[in-house]
Amino acid sequence: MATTTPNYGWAVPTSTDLVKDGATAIETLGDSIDASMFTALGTKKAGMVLLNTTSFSAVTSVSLAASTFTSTYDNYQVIYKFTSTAAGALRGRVRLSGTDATGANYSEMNVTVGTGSGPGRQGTLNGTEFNILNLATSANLTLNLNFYDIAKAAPTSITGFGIQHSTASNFIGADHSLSTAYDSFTIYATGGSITGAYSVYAYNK
Amino acid sequence: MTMAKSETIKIQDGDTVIELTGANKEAYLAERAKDQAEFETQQAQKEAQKQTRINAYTKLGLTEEEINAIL
Repeated sequence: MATTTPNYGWAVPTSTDLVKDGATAIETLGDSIDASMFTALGTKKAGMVLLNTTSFSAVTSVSLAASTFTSTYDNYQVIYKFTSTAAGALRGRVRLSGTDATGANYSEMNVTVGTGSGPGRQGTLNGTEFNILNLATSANLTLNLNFYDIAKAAPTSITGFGIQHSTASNFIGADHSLSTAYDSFTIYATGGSITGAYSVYAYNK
Repeated sequence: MTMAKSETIKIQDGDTVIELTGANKEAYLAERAKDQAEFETQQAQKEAQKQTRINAYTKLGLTEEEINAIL
C-alpha cells in the first residue's frame, strides 16, 4: 500500500505495491515536491543571503570588494571579527567604485559601555568619516553593522553593535547624508593593524 | 594616533592586499593624520561649546548636579 513521507506527506510507493501507473506516480511526487519547495523558497525565502566571507591579515584598512552592495537588495549586514595590535579609533567610510567618500557628510551618535565605566557618548555631526568605536590594545572585536539604503540614491543609515571581549560594548547609530548609491564600505584602524574576517549578508526582499 | 611603524603598511580591497611603501605609505599616513587632526579639531570645538553651556548654566545658578543632568 502506498504511503507518505513523514515531514511533507508526499505520496510514495512501498516495496510491496504492484508496479503500475509509474509515470503518474512520478508526476504526483514531482508536483508535491515542487509545491513544498515553492512554499519554502518562493513565498518564504531565506531571510538573509550570504554574499561573501573574506579574511584579512595585518592590514590597517579593509574595504569590501567593489559592487558588494547593489540595487538587488536594500539592506545589508556585515559581521566583522578581528583582533587589533594596538589601541586606536576604528573609523569607516562609504565607498564607490574603489574610492572612499571623504566629504563632510558623516554623522554618528554612539554609546560605549566599559567593564567599569560608561555609558559614554560619541557624537559627530557632518564629519569626514564615521567614528565607529575605539579599539583597545589587543582588542578582540565582533562588530555587526547594518547598512540601510546604501546602494540607493538616498542617504545611508547605519546601525550596529560591537563587543570587545572583556573591555567594552559599543552601540552604533550613524548616517551619511548624501543621496548617493555606494557599493562598498571601508573600515580602518588608526592604531596598528587588524587581522580577522568579515561576512556580508543581504536582507532578502 | 599611532600608526604602524613598520616599513610597509598593508590595506585590503576585497581580496586584494596592497602593500604601501615609500611615498605611497607616506601619503596614506598623511591622509590619516589629516583625518585625525580634523577629528580633534571638531572634538575641541564640541568641548568648547560644552564649556560655554556649563558657564551659562552656572551663571543662572544651577548646581553641578543639575548641569550634569542637562548635559
